[in-house]
Amino acid sequence: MIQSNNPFPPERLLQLDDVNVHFPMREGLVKAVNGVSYHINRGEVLGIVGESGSGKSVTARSIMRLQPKQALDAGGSIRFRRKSGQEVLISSEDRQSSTMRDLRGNEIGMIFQEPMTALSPVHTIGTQIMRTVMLHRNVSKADARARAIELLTKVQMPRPNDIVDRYPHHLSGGMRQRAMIALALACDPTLLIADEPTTALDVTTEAQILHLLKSLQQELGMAIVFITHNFGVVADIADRVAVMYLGRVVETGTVDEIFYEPKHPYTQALLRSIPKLGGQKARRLKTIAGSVPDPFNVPDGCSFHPRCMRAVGGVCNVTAPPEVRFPSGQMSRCHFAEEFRSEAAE
Amino acid sequence: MTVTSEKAMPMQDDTLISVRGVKKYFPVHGGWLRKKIGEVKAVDDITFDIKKGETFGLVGESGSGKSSIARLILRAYDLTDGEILFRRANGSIVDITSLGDREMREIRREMQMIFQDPYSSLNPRMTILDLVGEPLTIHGVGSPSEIEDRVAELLRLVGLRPEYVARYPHAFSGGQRQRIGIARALALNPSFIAADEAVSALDVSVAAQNINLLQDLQEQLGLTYLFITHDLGMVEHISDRIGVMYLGRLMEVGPTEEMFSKPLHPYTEALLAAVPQPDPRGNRERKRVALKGEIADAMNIPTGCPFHPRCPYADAKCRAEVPALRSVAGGRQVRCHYAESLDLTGVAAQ
Amino acid sequence: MTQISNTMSDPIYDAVMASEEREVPPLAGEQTTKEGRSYTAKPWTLIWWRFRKHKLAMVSLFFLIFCFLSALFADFISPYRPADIDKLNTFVPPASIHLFHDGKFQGPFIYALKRSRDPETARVIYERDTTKIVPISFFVEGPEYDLLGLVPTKIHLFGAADKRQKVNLLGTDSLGRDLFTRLLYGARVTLSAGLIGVAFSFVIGLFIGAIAGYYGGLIDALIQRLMEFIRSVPTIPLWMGLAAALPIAWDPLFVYVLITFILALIGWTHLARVVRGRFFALRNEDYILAARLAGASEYRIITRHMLPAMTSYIIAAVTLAIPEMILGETALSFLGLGLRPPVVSWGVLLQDAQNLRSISLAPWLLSPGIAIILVVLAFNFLGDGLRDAADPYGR
Repeated sequence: MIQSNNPFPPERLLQLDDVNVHFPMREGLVKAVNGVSYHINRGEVLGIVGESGSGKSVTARSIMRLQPKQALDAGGSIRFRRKSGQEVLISSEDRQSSTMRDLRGNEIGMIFQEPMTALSPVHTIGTQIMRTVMLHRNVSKADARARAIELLTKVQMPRPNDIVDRYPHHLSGGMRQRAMIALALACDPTLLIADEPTTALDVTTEAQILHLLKSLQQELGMAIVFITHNFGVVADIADRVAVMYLGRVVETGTVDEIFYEPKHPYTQALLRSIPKLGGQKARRLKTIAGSVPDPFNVPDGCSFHPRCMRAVGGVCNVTAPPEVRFPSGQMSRCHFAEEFRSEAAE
Repeated sequence: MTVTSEKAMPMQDDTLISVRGVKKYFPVHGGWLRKKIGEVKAVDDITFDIKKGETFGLVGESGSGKSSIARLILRAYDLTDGEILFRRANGSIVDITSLGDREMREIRREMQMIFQDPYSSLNPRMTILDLVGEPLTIHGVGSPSEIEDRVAELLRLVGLRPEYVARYPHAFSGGQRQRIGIARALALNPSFIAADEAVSALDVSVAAQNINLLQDLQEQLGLTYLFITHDLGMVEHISDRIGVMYLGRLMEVGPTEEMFSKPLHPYTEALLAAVPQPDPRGNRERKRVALKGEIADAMNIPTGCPFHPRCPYADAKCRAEVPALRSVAGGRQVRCHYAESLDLTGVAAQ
Repeated sequence: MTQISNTMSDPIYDAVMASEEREVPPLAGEQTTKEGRSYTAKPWTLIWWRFRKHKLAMVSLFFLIFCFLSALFADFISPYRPADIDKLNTFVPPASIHLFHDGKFQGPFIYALKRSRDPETARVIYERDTTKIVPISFFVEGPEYDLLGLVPTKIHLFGAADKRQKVNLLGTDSLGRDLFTRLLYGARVTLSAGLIGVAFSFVIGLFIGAIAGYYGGLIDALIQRLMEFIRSVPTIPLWMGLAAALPIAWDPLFVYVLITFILALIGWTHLARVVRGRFFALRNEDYILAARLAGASEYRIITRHMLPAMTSYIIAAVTLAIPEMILGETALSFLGLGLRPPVVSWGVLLQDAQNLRSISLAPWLLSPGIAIILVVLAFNFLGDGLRDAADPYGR
C-alpha cells in the first residue's frame, strides 16, 4: 500500500516525500509546492519559516487535504501514523473520505491566523467544542460540556464556566485564539498544525499564546507543525526548523543549527537582515538583493541564484542543487553547502 | 505640570514639531438614529517634541492610538483638544490645529505620510506618473513636462526605473509599491514624514531594503521622521528617540538606547520581554514573564493608571491615581508613580 | 494560501538595490524583465478582459444587443403593423418555416392554411395544406412606415411573396393581429421602459446615495430609515394606488413616462444602497487619505478618485436593476393598471393570455412571457458578469 521507498520509523508521526501542489492560472502553471519533503516525530515542534509565496501554508493544507479546489496534486506521498499505530497514506485519500474526516479534529488539529474563520459566529464556544467531542467520541452531552470547560481551563481561558456559553464575537483577539486552540485540542490530537497563529496578535498576547502552546505541547505530548514568517517566533517554539523558499525546503536542521550554523545562503542572508533587539547598532541593515520572483517565472537551477551572493555561473543557474546532508541530520539544498561547513568550523 | 503651562512654553530651536496636550475622542454612535452613546479616548493628553532631523519612533500595541497621532499631526482629522506646533521651512511657527483649509493646504507641502498597506494606499486606476505627480499637479508646480521630469527623478531616487511611469500599481510588488508611495511623499520636498507601519506588511528581506532606503533619504534630504510601528526590533534600529504608547497615552519617552537597556516603565519592560528573538539559546535563558490579561477596551479605560490591571508592580495608588507624564533625569519622561524605585530589565546590548 | 501576485522582477531595480550595498549577486543580471501588457492596461481594458471570460454574460450581452436592435428596427423587421386587424385570420397558430418541399429546395416558405369550422363547436380550425406553398421573400413592400422615424419607406425585411397570403411566424390573436409584429413593437415599449425607469432611479439613487455616503452621520441614518421604509412597502398595492390616480383620458405616451417614474420611485433604493456602500468603502481607503494629505480638494477627490472607482460598480448595479423595471412594467400592464391598449407592451400582450380559454386554444399567446423570461435572465447574467469584473484589482 505504501509506495514510497523511504522508511517510516516507529517514532515518526508524519512524513512528506517529494510533495507537489500546482495551481493552473491564467498566466501559467504555478508550482506552489515543488518537491517538498519533511518529517515530524512524535512530540516534536517543527517550525516552518518562509516569506510570502514560499508554499508553507499550501503544504500544511495538503496534509489536512484542505487545499483549494483548483489545486492539482502533482505527486508525492504524505504518510501519517495514527493513534492505533497504523500507517495511513494521506496523499491517496480523497478530501471528503471517511478516514480524512476522522483524522481531522480527532488526530490532527489545526489552528489559523484568523480565529474568526475557524469559529462559527452563530454558535457558542461551548457548543462548538461539544460538537467536535461528540462527533469523534461516544459521550453524553453533559460529559462533552464538562470536557469543553476542562479544555477552556487548559488553555488558561479566564472564567471558563462563563466563556463556554459565549459567542466568539464577545471575545478579544487573544481569547478567540485560545478558544480555537481549545477546539483544536478537543480530541487530544497527536499533531497540531498551527498556521501563523500569532501573526495577527500583539506582542504581549503573542508571547502568552506561544507560552501556552509550549506548555500544552509538553503536557499533552503532541507534535506541532508551526508555520510562520517570523524568525523570532520560530526560535522561541521550534525544536527543528525547515526553511522554505519558492515552494521548496531549502534547509532543515535543529533550531540551534539553523540559527547558529545556517548552511544555506538564503537562511544566512535572512537571519542577517532581521534587526535584533538589543543587538549592535549597525547603521544599515543587511539585505537580500531583489525581491521574491513571481511564481510564474521561477528561475532555472537553484531558484535563489539571482539573489544569492555566492552563486556560481554555470552551476547555480543550470542545475537544481541536491539535498546535501550533514552527519548531524542538517540538510541544505545548496551546491556549496559543504564549503560553509568548513567556514563555520573556522 | 498642567496643559496650559505647556501651551505657553515656547518651542525649542531644534524642535520641528511640538505636540502639546493633544486629545482625540471619537464619539461612538449607536441605536436607531445613531445617537452618541459613548466615546473612545483614542489619544489622551499626549505631549512630545520631535527634533529636526531625528527619527522619533512610536511603539505600542493595536488600539494604543499610535496611528491616530500621525493622522492628527497631518490633520487628517481634527483633534478634540491641545495644540500641535510646526516649524515651517521659512522659520515661522504655526499651530496646525488652528489653521483653515487653505493655509493647511500650504502646510501639506511640508509634511507627508507613508502608509502601511502598499496595496490600498495607491489608487489602482492611476498610472505611476499620475500618482507620483499628483501632489505636484495639485499644488500647480510646473508644466506637465516638468512634472514628468520630476517624477522620473523621484523614481530614480527611490531605486525604481523611470521608464515605469506608464504602468499601473498592480504591475509592482509590495516593496516596490511602498517605494512608489515614498516617491509620492517626497514629491513636494517635505521636511517631515510620518511613516505608519511602513514596512510591517512586507517580507523580511524587502522590509530591510526599504528601511535602508528611508535612512538614506533622511541623510540626503535632511528629513525628520515619525516612525510608527509595533515591531520593536525595527524601531530600535531606526529611531533616535522613542515614545511608548498604551491605551491612548504615552507611557515613556526617551532616547532609544537608554530606554531599551534600562526601561523606566513596567509596560516598556513587558514589551521588550515579550518580543521573541531570533536567538533560540537567548530565548531559553532569558526570563520572559508573560504579561497577564489583555489590553483593555478603549471605551472602558481602567481608573488610575491605565496599565495597572496588567502591571506586576501595581498597588493601591496605581488603581486610584492617574500618574502624570513627568520628566526624569537623562532627558527622559515617564508616566509611572514608581519609576525611580523600580529596577526594570531591558535588553542588553550584546 | 499562496498569494499569487502578478509582479515582475527587474534586474536594474535589483542592481540599484545591490549597488547601494556595494554587493551585487554574481548572477543577478540574468533575469529578464517580463513585459506584461496588463501592466500598462487601462482600468476599463482590464475590466473587459475579465468580463470576456464570463461566457454566460458574453452570450447575454450579444442576445440583448440583438433584442434592442430588433426593437429599434421593429417596423422594418415585422411584416405588418401591430394594429392591423384581420377578421378572417383569428387565432392562427404559429407557422413553421421550411426550405424543402417534396425533397426539392424551394427557399424559405410556409405551408398555406385551410380554414374550416368544427361542426360541433363551430370553432375555427386551421389545417396545414401541405400541397400549397407560400414562399417568403425578403425586402418586400408592405405597409408604409418611417424608418427610425426619418425615412419613409414601404420595404419590410420579409413577407409573403403573394400579397394575399399572410406569414404569421408566431400566430395571431383574437382579432387576427400578427403576434410576431406585436411582440417586436411591444419590445420597444417594455425594453425602453426598463431603461428609462432605471435612468430615473439612477439619478435619484446616485444623488441620495452619494449624500448619505458622503455626509454620513444623522443624514445617513435618516436616509437609511427612509430607504428601509420604502423597501418595506408592498409594491403591488402601491403601484395600484399610484396608477389608479392616473386619469384614463391622458395621452398614452404621458402615462408611459409616469409609469416608469412610479417604478423608479421604488427602484432607486437598491442603487442608492450600492452607491452609499461604495462611498463608505472608498472613504476609508488609504489612497483617498493620501490624496487628501497631498492637498487635493474635495472636488478632485470625488471626481478623480471616488467616481472612477465607482463607475464599474454602478454600471453593474444598474444592469441588475433593469430586469426589475421590466418585470414591474409587465406586472402593472398585465393587471390593467399600467399601459393600456392601443399601446403595445409585453405586459399588455400578456393580458390576452389571462383567461384559460385563450391559453388552451392559443398557447402561442404566451410567447411574450417567454420573451420576458429570456430578457430578464440575460440582464441578470450580464449584471453578474459585470459585477464580477467590476474590480479587476481584487486580490
